[in-house]
Amino acid sequence: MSVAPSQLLNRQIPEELAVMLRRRGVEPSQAWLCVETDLNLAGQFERVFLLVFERRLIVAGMAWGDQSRLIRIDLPRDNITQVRTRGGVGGGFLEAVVSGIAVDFMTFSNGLADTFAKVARKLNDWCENKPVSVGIEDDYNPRKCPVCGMTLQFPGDVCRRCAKQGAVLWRVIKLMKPYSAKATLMMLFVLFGIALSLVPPKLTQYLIDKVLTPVLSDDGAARSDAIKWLIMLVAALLGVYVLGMVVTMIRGLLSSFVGTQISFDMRARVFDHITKLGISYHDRYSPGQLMTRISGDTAALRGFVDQLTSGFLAQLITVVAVGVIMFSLSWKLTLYTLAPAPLVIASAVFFYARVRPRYSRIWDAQSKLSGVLSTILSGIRVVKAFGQELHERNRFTGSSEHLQNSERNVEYAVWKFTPAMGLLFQLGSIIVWFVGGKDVLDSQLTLGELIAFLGYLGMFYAPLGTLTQLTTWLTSFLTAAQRTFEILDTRPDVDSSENAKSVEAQGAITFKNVTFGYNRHEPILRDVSFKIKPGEHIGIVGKSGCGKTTLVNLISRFYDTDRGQVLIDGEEIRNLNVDDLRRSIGVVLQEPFLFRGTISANITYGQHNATPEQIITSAKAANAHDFIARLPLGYDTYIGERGAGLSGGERQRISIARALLFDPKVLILDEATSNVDTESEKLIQDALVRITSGRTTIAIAHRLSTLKNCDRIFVMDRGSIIEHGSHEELMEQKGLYYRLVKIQTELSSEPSIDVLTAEDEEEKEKNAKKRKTKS
Amino acid sequence: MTHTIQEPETLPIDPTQIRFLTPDMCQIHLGAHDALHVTVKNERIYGGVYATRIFPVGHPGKFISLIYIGPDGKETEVGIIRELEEFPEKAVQLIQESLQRRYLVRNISKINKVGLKYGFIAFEVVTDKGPSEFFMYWQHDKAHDYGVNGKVLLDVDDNRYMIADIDQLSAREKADFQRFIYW
Ligand SMILES: Nc1ncnc2c1ncn2[C@@H]1O[C@H](COP(=O)(O)OP(=O)(O)OP(=O)(O)O)[C@@H](O)[C@H]1O
Ligand SMILES: [Mg+2]
Repeated sequence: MSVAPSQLLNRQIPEELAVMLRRRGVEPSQAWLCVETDLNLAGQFERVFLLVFERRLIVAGMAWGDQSRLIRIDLPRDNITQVRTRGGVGGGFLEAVVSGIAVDFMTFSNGLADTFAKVARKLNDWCENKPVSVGIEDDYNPRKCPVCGMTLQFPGDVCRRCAKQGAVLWRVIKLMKPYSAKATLMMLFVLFGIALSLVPPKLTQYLIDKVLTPVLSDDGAARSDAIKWLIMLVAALLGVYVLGMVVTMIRGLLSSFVGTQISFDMRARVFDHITKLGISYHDRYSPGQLMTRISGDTAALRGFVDQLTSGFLAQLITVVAVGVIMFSLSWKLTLYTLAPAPLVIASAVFFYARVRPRYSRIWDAQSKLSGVLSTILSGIRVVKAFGQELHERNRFTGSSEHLQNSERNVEYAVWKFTPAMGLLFQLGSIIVWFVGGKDVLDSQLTLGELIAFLGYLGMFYAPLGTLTQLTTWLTSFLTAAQRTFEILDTRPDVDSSENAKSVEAQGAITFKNVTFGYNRHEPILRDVSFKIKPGEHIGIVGKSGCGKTTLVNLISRFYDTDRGQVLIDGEEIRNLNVDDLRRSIGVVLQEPFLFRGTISANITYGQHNATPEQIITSAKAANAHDFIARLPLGYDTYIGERGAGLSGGERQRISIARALLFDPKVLILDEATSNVDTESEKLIQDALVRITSGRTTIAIAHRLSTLKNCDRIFVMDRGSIIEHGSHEELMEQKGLYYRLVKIQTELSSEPSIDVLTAEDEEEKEKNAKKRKTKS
Repeated sequence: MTHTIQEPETLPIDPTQIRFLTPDMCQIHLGAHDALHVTVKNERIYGGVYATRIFPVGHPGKFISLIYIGPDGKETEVGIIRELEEFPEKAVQLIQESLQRRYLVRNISKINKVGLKYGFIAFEVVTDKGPSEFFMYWQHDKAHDYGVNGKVLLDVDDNRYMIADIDQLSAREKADFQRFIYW
């Protein structure tokens, strides 16, 4: 069989079906579109085919046995007016409007969502009798890895299947590279310290064999010799202790330096990376979760360095060194000592496998707890307003209990395991006592050698005991490191391309057939095209949820389009430097966000070196100056988290001032004055007209009167711009805009928006007259 | 621009009022092209309707909303069925079919193998719709709680797999599962 020219034209249908089709008078090879899905409409796995011919559409399934149900749908083109996809839960539908009724054609699982989105588009063109074709170019899908076909998390993501990931431990060690000189020195001191600690038992051996034994067993002749030895030994011991102190001190200082430095570096890297990650990443992870990651997980790296110097690595080296010395003292005793070792290793491995998942659960419980806490605390006003303190306390206690349980779960296991290990080692030393004691009695070993051996035995077992905890520590450390690297490995979905151009935008904005959705099934924006000239004032109206905010988000490139292009000054924004792009766009977000800090710091947020004159100018334009000036501390008033202490309208006005001070070429006002009273709104409007002349302005508003002065108004409905034109033109069209205006004026019990303006003017005239008469 | 402005249908439905559908006021049946239809007495026939659970986790068998899709793609709720059992058998069957269509969730009945592969969690499972293998990202947002003891897993393609009650798994399966999905 020949290779299909495209996924959308895979005519390799089962023979059975081909026969059926021919019997109906259609030749399968005539189909210009032929796709297969993995599910039938009942949600069962089944091969279902869609075949589209010049003037006919057929859906056929391949259920075994039931011949009569092969052909599911067979319709002439003229009956179908529209084809679209609709999302279900875990999959989607290809849906068509047939004689005015929405009919489900096919179901597909999410893996095929992109394919069917394409199918729907082609079929729509087909219904409208536009030329359509299917080709290899339709197979290109930016959400799939071009090498292995694995679905990527977002277009352009690194395919995890194809990318090799370095071992976590190795990556951590590489982090120390910039401080390799200090780290090496540190490790030398560690070795030196260990060597020093090996000396005292050896001195004990000499004390017994050269000083005590001869004196006890002999006459006066040995005594003077013994004194000489004693003095030498004491001096040596003193020397070892003093040197040991110095070494420990230097080692400690070095490890503290390297450790804090590494965790500092890591915090910086993770923070940088998290702030670089796109909005879609932050849509997925709560601030609470990310906070634990930045502060908690990077601290674990610090622990790693401590473990190198005084923890497990040092212990491991000690064990080896001590083992070698013990071996040279008595290989026989050493073998007895090691008898319990296989048992220890086996149980440690078993324990490791058991405890690892429980450790992850502790971490999860911690991050959930901080998530709950941050939600409750940031929503404390709502909590109090609804009197839900008790409920929230229960919620908190629940999470807190979960943490307690997870911690106990691990620690109980550890405390059952560790003492048992201890006992195993003690069994080893009991053997040494017995065998070694007998050797001394048989004169195969001197007393000094046995005592020294027992001294080394203590040094051997103590770290071995802690080494059994190595696994637990290593697990928790590796999980933390892994989570940190997971963040660092996430590629920002909106990334400046290599040869990104830096721009000084003029403010022309073009959308070319832009389609975008937060998930793949349901485009929020559908095929939106428009051109905005530099300096033009555009208003956007439309029902709540129709995609207005989404549209302006694309201009700032908070998200990338699925299809189509967004151009600024004729250049596609993907080719522009993101920072430059955002610097030329000022946004007043729908939900004004103020940081903890002074009002002036909030206004100068994007322009830190602004002069007081500039601050006042923009505050005046935003009609914020008057209320700020009335505050006891004026612009230096400190405001709390999220602007606590200010009214909703005051917050909005500060964020308008912030955007104005930013002095952008393009100003986006998303419901910027929705919380402001009508009178101040009017003032702000007038100021904006003054300030924004020459700037491209896009204003979204529900209160239509706000948009009267716009050059053009875009009317959006369910993701499309359905009308555009000036206020007057749109009123003449008597479309959606006209209806919206009518509803609003009815609500305000005024016959029309024009009357409102007219009245405004009348009033002004009256006032002016009054003033004249007064003077 | 090529948008045709469609005068939206005006439906005799007040969207601000809750309306419970009962068997004596409406009929659920198939109409043209096997699309689900609802005929509300003294109101009109709604053709091209689908059913959706509004409390899929809290009250999975109750509160089913019937949503009418207009020719322009606009979705409007016709009403809510509080107790499906009240309806005649045929209607119940139609509603169930519509729900099955919408909820493409595979119920995992057995986990044969779980492991890490290329940094993904790789599952080999048996589902109510046949055996299946899938990869999922090892991320918190890819496994949600379902009810008290259940989990819903999202694979790399966002397909859904459900384990209704983790305690129903065998001890080995549960241990294997929780080694990776520990949250
Ligand atoms: N981050 C997101 N993830 C998924 N869906 C989203 C997200 N943000 C918005 N949506 C959905 O996209 C649609 C359009 O949202 P958008 O914010 O653009 O509406 P809008 O026109 O600005 O409405 P409003 O006038 O209420 O502000 C809505 O249905 C919304 O539920
Ligand atoms: Mg909005």
